[in-house]
Amino acid sequence: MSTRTILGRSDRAFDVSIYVVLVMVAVVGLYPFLHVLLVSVTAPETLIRRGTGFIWPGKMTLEAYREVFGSEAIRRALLMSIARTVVGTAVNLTLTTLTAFPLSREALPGRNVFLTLIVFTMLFSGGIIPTYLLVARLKLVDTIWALILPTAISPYYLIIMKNYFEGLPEELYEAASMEGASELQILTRVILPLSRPILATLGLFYAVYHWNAFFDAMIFINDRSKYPLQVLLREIVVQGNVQDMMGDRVIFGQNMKMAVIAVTTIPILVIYPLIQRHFAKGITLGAIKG
Amino acid sequence: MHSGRRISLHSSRCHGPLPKAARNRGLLTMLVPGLIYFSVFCYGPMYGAMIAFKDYSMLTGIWGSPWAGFKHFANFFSSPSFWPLLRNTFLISFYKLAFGFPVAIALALMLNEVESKWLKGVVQTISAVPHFVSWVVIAGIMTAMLSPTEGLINELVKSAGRRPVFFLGSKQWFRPILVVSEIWKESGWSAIIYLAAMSGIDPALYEAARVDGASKYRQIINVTLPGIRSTIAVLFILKVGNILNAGFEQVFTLINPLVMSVGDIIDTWVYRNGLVYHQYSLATAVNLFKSVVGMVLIFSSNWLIRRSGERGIW
Repeated sequence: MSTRTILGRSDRAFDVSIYVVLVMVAVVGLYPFLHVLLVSVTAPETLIRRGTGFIWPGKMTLEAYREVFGSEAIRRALLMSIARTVVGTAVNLTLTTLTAFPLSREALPGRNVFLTLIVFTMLFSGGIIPTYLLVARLKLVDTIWALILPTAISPYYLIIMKNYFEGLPEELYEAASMEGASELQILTRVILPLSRPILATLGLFYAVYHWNAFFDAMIFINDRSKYPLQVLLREIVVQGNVQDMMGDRVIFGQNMKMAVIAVTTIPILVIYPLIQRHFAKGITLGAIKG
Repeated sequence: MHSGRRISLHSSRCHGPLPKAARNRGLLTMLVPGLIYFSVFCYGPMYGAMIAFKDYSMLTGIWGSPWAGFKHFANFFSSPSFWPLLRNTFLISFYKLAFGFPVAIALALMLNEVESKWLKGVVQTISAVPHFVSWVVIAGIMTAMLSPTEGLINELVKSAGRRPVFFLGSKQWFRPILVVSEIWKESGWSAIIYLAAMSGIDPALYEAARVDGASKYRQIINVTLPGIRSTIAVLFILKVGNILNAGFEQVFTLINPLVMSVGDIIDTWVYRNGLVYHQYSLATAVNLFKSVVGMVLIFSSNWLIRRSGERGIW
């Protein structure tokens, strides 16, 4: 592709228009986030005077962030989000690995039956009402487990990991089993050390899921002190205020709203470069093709 | 890989390979937690979906509640909300597919033509970011930017000499906004999938096209697009199978009473009637209807694609 040196005139015009469009795509993609940051560091007086259009904050102030982190409700929500992300991802990875490994072994009795049953869950589900009734029945409402157990394994990621394991050389298993290793020992001492890239990738995807999830928390968590950040953020954006633990209402100005949005988004942007490293490998395509 | 690292796993009890039965037992044991998960949290709700055919009450439970046959389905199909709901769901999905699907392919084609690694990387990075950001966050940004009083978009509208528009409260604008924001959020990510497919195209094909004097445009039409045909087919099947999933989180975070008549979709209706108004059986029936239609669509579009000579998803 790099040797396209002899360009016709029409090819050059073609290239230029592509560049123009792509630069516009980048600007349109980036500006909303920039807008959030700019408004969040602008003093409220400036916002009132000039509106929140194309804003340039003259003098920057971190006042909005101080107020956001000063709110007990937001600090709790942040902790809840961190907790569900850390514990949730750990559960996801453990169960996905433990299930993917036997499914990757042809020796597993009933392997095709298990695989078919798992793939079927990708095509059909009972829906949210029966899931809600089940979670309520298991007495998980208002616990962190309501946010973790119902999505403990993603069948898509499970298949990706199974395929990855299948791609490892068969001799590894043979060598280890000749030495009398049990299947669990083979997994933990031979396979897992070779699976860091896939564990990292799927771990990041699971973590992003947990950080972003809000609907499950909205239906499974009634206790306001256990809201994760996304649920609280929605309340702030929709209502413009939030009830603090003491029952006082804290009014959120535009700069504070944008500060909460920034706080909710920044962790994603921080781990994004790590995720991106695995993009080009077509990992998602593998998922889709199952 | 793994060049000769010594594996010493001697257990004191036995040397040499474990017997096959023990090995199988080991594998099955490992599978137990996963099987419990799928039985409880995937097949459990499928069993629970039986309440679509019953008059469910919390007191009598799933099994104990009296059978109601297809009553809830009949009620839903004959209710005045059925057609508007189906229309909203289908139209929102259809517009997203009709506009969003080509945009993602076009973006990938353009990125593929860029020779500057730097520009390609920057655009790819920026355009894929929104995929990883939640709808709650994006709805927050949209609410701010589309606000009729202080939003950025309306400043542009006003500076063009027009009156500000309450976009999110407008029946005319609500669906276009759903479509555009979906495209903004997902195109960059979908493009990456196509780009991965494009990187697998044999460079010799481009070489041959150039020798024949094909312009870049002709190369796209004659080499790149045919090269990603099977990827397009797979993604298209999945989109069609998902046509009744109009985007719950997006609609849910943006919908408001003013646009209910154009924005209410099956999923938001199921949520409201099931979990807010506690009509468990009715909501489950509607959801079941949606799941079954989705499954029929995915099987039939896969069949059609395979008949046309592509590989399909299975």
